[in-house]
Amino acid sequence: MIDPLLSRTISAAFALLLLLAAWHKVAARDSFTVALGEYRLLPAALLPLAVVLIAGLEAGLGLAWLAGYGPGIVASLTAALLAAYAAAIAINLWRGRVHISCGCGFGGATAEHQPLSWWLVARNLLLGAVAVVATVPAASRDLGAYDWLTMTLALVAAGVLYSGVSQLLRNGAALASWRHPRD
Amino acid sequence: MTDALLVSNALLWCVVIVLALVVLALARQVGVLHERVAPAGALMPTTGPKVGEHTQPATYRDLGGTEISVGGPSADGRATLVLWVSPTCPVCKALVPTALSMAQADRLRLVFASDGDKLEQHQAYVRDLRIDGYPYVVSQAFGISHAVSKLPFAVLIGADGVLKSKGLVNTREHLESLVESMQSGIRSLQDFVGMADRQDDASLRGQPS
Repeated sequence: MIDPLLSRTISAAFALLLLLAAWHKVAARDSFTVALGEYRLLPAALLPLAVVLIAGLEAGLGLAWLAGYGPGIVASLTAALLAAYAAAIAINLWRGRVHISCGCGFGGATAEHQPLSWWLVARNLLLGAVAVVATVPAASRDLGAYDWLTMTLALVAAGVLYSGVSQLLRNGAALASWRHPRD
Repeated sequence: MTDALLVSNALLWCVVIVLALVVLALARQVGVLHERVAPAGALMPTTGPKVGEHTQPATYRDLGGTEISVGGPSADGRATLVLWVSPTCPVCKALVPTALSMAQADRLRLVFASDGDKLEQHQAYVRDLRIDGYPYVVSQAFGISHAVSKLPFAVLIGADGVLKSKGLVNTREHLESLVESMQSGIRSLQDFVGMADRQDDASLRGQPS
């Protein structure tokens, strides 16, 4: 049993994360299609369909988290989706295609370039682990105004830290590109 | 008591958010610095042997009287870094420890070179900087063969005997840029900047406006 506040905070965080990701994929569909193609996991003919499916899946999961269906099957699906992303990145890292963009930023239409790295795999696995935590049933407790305040502040802090980590990953990639010649 | 805890908790949350914002701002600034600061590189003179040329093995006598060979393919598979210094050059003195740590980190064979002055002065210099473990050549011919005009000057010869890079090195960054140049295959800072410009042009042309 976990505290309902923890469960709610995780739900809200994943709802935000998935909806923002889905919105980003729709807003910058062209660049996401290119990024997905660069992964070289799907035949080119299937790419437009895959983009719609991925964005739709993310949006659907985000809405489900928001509606409170989170703890349970939605959490497992989210963890599976994140693990699939991690696997796709890992496969391309093994192939040595480190320079391709991960297509996982929230930079809106500007689509900030975020090259692949093992840190991204670790980040996705960590997020998946957090989603798994939400599958643990929550204890029942009345949430007061103070709990909602805590939740809001925790979400803001998590969001800012997430952006900070993304920025550090970009910096790390910029440094790495100076060290090794690209293919 | 409960009120105090509530206030303290809310205050702590605010501090956490502010700290997270500060971390984000710092990370962004580091990112912007990466973009803005062009990599510093050694200034390469146009005279003397060209980068990419095969060097001829030449034998010199170091301070201890041992014969050492510089140039041509190396027997132990290590690249050779030759650093021209002088007891009368303060920048050189500051650069020597950098060269030592770099030689260790990048597994380079380090050779110091100098010319002129009195031999005792060089011997005192070597003792002073504790570089007696490395060959120290005092030879005017060596400097002339590589067109060394200003100090501190460095030349990097690959394990295959090819001149990888060279230049006037005033800072650690300059010295590191020589090794960087060997690993990346880009001859000099001037070349790197030119390449980046061409890439920019190409990407501008490629984008429909």
